[in-house]
Formats: sequence, C-alpha cells, structure tokens
Amino acid sequence: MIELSAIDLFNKIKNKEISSVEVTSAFLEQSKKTNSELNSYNLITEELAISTAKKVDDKIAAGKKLRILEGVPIAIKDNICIEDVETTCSSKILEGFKPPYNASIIDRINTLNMPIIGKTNLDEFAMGSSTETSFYGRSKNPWDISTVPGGSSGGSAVIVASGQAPISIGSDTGGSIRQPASFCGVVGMKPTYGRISRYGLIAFASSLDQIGPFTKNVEDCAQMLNVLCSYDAKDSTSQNVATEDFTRDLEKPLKGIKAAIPKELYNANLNKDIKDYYDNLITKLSNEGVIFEEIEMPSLKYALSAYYIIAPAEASSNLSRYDGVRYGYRSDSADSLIEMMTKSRSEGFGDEVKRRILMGSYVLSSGYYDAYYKKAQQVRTLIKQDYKKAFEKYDIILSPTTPTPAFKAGEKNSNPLEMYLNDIMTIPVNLAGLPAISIPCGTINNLPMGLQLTGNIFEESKILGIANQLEKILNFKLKNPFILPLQGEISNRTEGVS
Amino acid sequence: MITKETIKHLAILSRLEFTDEQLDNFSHDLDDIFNYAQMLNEVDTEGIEPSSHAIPIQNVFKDDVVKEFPNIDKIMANAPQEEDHAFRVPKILAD
Repeated sequence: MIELSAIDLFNKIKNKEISSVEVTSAFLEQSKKTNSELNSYNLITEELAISTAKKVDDKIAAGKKLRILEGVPIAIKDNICIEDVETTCSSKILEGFKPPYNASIIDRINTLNMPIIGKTNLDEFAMGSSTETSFYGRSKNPWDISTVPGGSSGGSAVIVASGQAPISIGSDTGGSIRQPASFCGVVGMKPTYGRISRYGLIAFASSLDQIGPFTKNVEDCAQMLNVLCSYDAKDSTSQNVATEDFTRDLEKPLKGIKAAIPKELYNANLNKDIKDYYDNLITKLSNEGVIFEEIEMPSLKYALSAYYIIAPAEASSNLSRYDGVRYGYRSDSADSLIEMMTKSRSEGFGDEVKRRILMGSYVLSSGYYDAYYKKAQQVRTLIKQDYKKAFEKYDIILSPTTPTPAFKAGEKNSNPLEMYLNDIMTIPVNLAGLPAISIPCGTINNLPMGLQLTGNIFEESKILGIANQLEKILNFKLKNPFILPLQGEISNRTEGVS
Repeated sequence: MITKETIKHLAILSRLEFTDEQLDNFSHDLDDIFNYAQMLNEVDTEGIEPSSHAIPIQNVFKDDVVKEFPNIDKIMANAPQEEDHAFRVPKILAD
C-alpha cells in the first residue's frame, strides 16, 4: 500500500476498499520501521494521526461525502507550528518548544482531516542543503544511505521517497523543497511567494520563504496545492488572488509549448556527463513537440552571491528572537541578562546558523550596508527583470534542479561555499518569487536527477500541466530499497552504489 | 578582508561568543564567501531600484482592537522561568 499515490489512497478510502485508520496504520508502521535507519522524523505523532483517521472512518460510516484527500496521511516539516506538538526546527535552542497555536496550513490540513504522522527532520532552522546541520543527526537518502537526501527539507523528501507518508510538507527559501525532491526522486513544488500563508512557519528569510508539498506524482502535487493555497489575513504578505483548481491544466497537450533554457544555468555549472544526460533528455522532449530555445539571462550568474547576502541578513534579524527569555533553551551558567542571552544563543545554535547570523550582521553593519545589502537588492531587481523578459516569449524556463545527483554525507561539510554552490539552479527562483517544480527525470549511477520547471508569477496550473505531461513521457519509477523491498533484502542492505 | 577582529565585533552585535579556534574558522569561512560575492561589483546597478521583496508588498492595516489570547498558560508553559504570568530573567543591571 505504501507505494500508492495520495489520490489512489483517497479513492480506496472513499470507495470503502480500505479505511483511513488502516491506511494511516500502514504508513505509521513503515515510518517506525525505517526511521531508525533513515532518521527522517524528529517526532512520530501516532496518537494524533490515528484519532484524525478515526474521524474520517466515522464520517464514512455515517454516509457523509469525503472531500478530496480527506483521510490521506501527511508529514510536516518540523519548522511549522502544530499546537501542543513539539516544534524544534531541528535546533537545540527550540528543544521542547510546544507552540500555543497552529500554523494556518495546519488548520487547513486539520479541516480536511488529513492524519498528521509526524514532524520531519531538516537542516537547523532550514539552513543547509543536506540535512546534515540538524541537531538531531543527519537524514539519509533511501536510494543510497551513504548519500545525503538534500536539504533543508531532507526529512520530508525522504519520507515520501521511502513510503513513510504519501505526502509531506516542506519549506523552500533557496531550493529547500526542489533540491531534496531532486535528490530523492520525488515531486516537490515551491509556489509563487504569497500563495500559501507563512503564518506559523518559523521564519528564516521572510522575503524568500515559501511552503510547498512533496508528492510521488504531479497530480498529487496539484491536489495538495488546492488544500494549501488560500489568502490569509494573518500573513501580511499573503496574496489575495482568486482561488483556482490547480488540476485544471493537467491534461493539456504539450505540443507547441515554448521552453527557455538559460545558458547561465545550463552551460556554466554542469560537468560533461551530466550535460550529456540533459542534452539527451531535451532531444527526447523536443521529439514530443516541446520547442526549446537557449536564452541569455545575464543576472542569473549573480543570484547566488545576492542570495547569500539577502538571506543571512534577514535570518540574522529573524533569529534575534531566540534569547532564552520566553521559550526554548536557556543557559544556566549566567549571572546577568546579557550574559544569559549570549550563552543561551552560543550553546543553543549550531555552527551553520551562527555562520549565517555573522554573515547577516556583517552585511547589515554600518560601512557595508551599501556595498553588500543594497547592491544585492539591486541585483535582485535585475533578476526579476530578466525573468519578466523571458516570460514575454516563453511558457516555462527549464533547467536541471541541481548540478549533480546526491553527494556523499560529509563531502561538503568542511567548505560552506561549496555547499552553497549546490543551490545555484534553485536560488534565482526564490529571489524572483516565482513558482517552480522539480520532477524526477531519471537516474545517474542509480541516483535520481530532477528537472526544474519555472513559471511566471501565479502560473502554477500551467507548470503543473506541463509537468504532468512530461511525467508521462519520462516514466520515472520510484524504486529504492525502502519503498519496494525485494524479498530478503531489507535486513542486509548494503551502503554505496554498485 | 575579514579578520578575527571582525568576527569578534560581529559576535558582540549578534550576542554570540566564540573560542579562539571558532574565531579562526568563521573568519576564514566568511572571507571565502564574501570574496566570492565580490563578483557583484561587476554588475552595473546605476539607477536600479533595490527590491526588498519579489512582488509588490503593501502595508496591511488592521483595526486596533484588543483581543484576548485564549492560551496564555500554553505560552507560559514554554518559559524557561516563569512567575505569575511573567518571564523571569537574571538581573539586568550589573552589581
């Protein structure tokens, strides 16, 4: 059952072939079995999940109609607040924190009676590209446990890829949904900035953060967007746009779609093997009627630099609230208030978070503000302009999601800049606030690769339509040892790629 | 050039404290990262408006109405030290 899509599971529940409690129990069992090896959950919320599933089964018994996805289990990234459920951001500084309120998306998920199976592991405060900076230990990629699942929403990606939940929720500030989706062979989408309320998402970089889903396929992704997207007065950056059905374009034909490939992403950052791989893919899709053109977007070359000024600047400000006064970790070895705050922060934050706070404080400090922060914001304007120009002529912009498949754990830890370079394809999209999806397109050395489709502001339906047609052509199979275990293989799984 | 002295100053601004080895490491990391970011100087940004957000954002005004928060006990339950619905902290002024 764990290999099924969310919509297939929903239909089985609706048609009374299987109950929501049975579905939820199957995923809980898989979660408990695999979590000890993959470390994808910070917390499994079994009681909460089962009690929600029972509500759905009662509803069915009473002859009431279910809404789409009702009764289908889901996992939530551990930087999204659930009332009374420990929410840690995978940081020591929030250990034991139980929010007194729900994030707005949790209210929506609860209204739909989707059983919440657990809180998923992430890079500390979503700062990282490998889920290795988590205070609770690294998550592992189910395709090869010696490699990373990507990050920061690594746990959420692992959970869908290994059949621990059919849907999970992540957040994406510079690629934190799309990059792990690519590494784990699942679908991950970051909608337009402001589409989904950030109320109750613990802030990293407020002008870039956006919530989005991980799913096994594009249709599930579209259905989940229907659940998540809504105007919310509690988030002052929430966009008040007309609601739409994100599944509306799923069956639109591909023929004649105009796709742009920016040279700055495609040529500069790929080694020969990977370039050849994507060249072949593009030829294949051209034969299906997609029109590809290489274009120049000169500002994209500077996106990574601008991002690593803007995001830490916002983070250093957002993370000033962790001071040991009102919640979270407090050092007990201090005699004065300032000492207590300094020691609590120094003992509570990990190195990557401290590094970003220092970077942010640096670019915002007097003497450097104009040279770094203002300059980066001007470059951000140029990036937006380049995208705007491209969308006057093209339906979508296409690129690999990442320059390489999943890398080995520990490989990039000693060099932060090298880790940051891994997000070079995904970061420009956040700076421009655009919607983008990563869909799995195949494997290299038995590790999944992703295709990133970026669309114009609020054109999620168009992206999903194109992605759905590409998915049919690509015919990718989610077949790692955890989701489709072969007889006898589960106990003696070996590390490494053969 | 980002030196150990720079990091010491930033640590004070950020309410963080570091060992000598950490000062060394962070100054090296930040120096690397901001050297990379020097490429921004190649870009002509004369007359370009800075963007603080991706899409136009306006102030959202709400009526100034006092509302009771129903879960005060749940807020206070997270406090490291609490006294009569107040957050207790070490002394603010030095001796």
